[in-house]
Amino acid sequence: MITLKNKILTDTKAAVFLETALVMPLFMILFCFCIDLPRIIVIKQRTYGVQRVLAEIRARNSGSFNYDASFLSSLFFDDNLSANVKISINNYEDKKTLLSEIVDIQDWLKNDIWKYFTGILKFLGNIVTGGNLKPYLFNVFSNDKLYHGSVTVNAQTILPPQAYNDLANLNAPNVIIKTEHDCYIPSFDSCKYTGESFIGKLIDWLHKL
Amino acid sequence: MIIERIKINRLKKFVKRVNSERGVAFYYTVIIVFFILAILSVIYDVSKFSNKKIIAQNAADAAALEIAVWQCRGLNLVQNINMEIYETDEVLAVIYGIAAGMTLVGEAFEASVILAEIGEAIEKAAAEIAKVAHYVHEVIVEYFLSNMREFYAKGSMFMGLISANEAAMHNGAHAFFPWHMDDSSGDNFLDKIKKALARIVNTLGNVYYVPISFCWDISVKQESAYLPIPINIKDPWGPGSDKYIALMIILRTNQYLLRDSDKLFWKDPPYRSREVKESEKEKIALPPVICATYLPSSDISFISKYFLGGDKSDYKTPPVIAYAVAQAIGGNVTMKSSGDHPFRPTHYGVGADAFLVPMEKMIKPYYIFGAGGVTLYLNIDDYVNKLFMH
Repeated sequence: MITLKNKILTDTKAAVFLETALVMPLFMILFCFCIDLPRIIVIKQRTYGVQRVLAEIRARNSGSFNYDASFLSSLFFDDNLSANVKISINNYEDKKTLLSEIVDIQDWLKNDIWKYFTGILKFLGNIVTGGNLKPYLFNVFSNDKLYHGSVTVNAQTILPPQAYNDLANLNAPNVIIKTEHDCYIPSFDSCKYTGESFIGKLIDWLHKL
Repeated sequence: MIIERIKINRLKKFVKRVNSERGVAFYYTVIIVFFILAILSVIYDVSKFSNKKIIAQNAADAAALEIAVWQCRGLNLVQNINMEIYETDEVLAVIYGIAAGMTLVGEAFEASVILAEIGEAIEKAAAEIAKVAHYVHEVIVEYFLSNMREFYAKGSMFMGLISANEAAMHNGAHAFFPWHMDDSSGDNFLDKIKKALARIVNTLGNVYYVPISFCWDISVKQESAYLPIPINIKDPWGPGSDKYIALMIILRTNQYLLRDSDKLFWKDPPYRSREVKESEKEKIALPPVICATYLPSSDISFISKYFLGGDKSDYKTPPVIAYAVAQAIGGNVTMKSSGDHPFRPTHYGVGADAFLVPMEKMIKPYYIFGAGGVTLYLNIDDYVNKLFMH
């Protein structure tokens, strides 16, 4: 027996076959990785597109998005490459620009001890500007928002998802793909009509007379 | 002797190992894995740049659209304000007409000896009515609306630049002074002040570095200085205007208004000359704006670095640049519908909208509307040439 064992261990016949069989799992993992990685990269790039479309639709519709995630999925993940890819829309976190935050100053003042003082300021402001403060400043500046588009994409991979999710400290059943930056598109509201000043209303009343 | 034997044994073992087929798979596995990982490394690095390019493009698009949207807002608000000016003056013109009629009646009574005093009273009342109308115009149109109109006409480009800078930064473009993008800092009073200051400095700093030089000037071609009626009434040369002009001439004969006659017949300069034709719409449209964003590159792997020229190469950290061109299309000052006054359309919101447009629109520097209306110079050509020389 000892002789046979030594013979098997020392014999070089079919050694290449045996060694190939030993490294084959490593090769297979590498092979799967070669398929998974470019696929994840492509899906991630498409995710940027999804976010852009989401943000742009919202920006053109005053923040509303009347479709669901399947609409976005049909636009970007409708091929064999992206089978079993699921999109979920994240919470919207619209940003305000410096100009639109000027409008918030009045709210900020209202919540403080300036409550009554703000009312007086607003009244005086309207008197001084002939009621133009709201239609021509506040209503315009408050429209200047940046609408948010952010999605999370779940994709199935050949290798177990833990192999990828562990890199991001996740323990999800699918690989979760997120982008480095969400997309923000400015509001397309070009203020075609922002309301009338009280002078305008007075003039309208005179017109009716 | 012993040492030589050991050396011979080692040599024998080495020759045996080299001749042996054992472990061959290990060697080619190492070589193949190395090449596969090298290719994957390059793929990964290229995808990183590709993602950065998408981020930069989104930022550039957002910034360009923001400026164009603000230009649209400027146009639309000017239209709205024009509309209010027009409506205000139309009402006041009717009041002027009433005052002219009263002046005519008063002057007729003054011709009679018995009714002379009544005639004087009527004429005086007509003068007061006309003065009130005049002061209403002064306050509403000249003080409020005209100034507001100028604010938007001249300021919308600047407001667009401020907001575009923020739009680009929120989309991940490089921030000149990135404090305020750091949401992790505290919310106490000092942090808020620090953030606000950083934001202002950042915004203004980046506006300063925007490589587009521009100047904005509004020159208005005046209508005839001798038109004896308020310019803002609808169709001053249309049917019935001769009667109205006659009434205005009568009003000017009111003896109580003589000293104010220069002020009385106001003339609000039109936003745009009536000489502009519909066919010239393209010429008077606001020129497109271009926004470029820059992202510094992050570290790349050694292998990618080798392919890009090595450590000494300038390309080892290639920057990402993207640009976008947007334009305010349509709008009050370029559109008119049938029955409208040439520069005072009768309905609100004729409407300008912002669009991304192709680069071809930027080929030549824009010089528009030098004689009257909006004049806008954008030294885009110079800028673009420099940008693409790199």
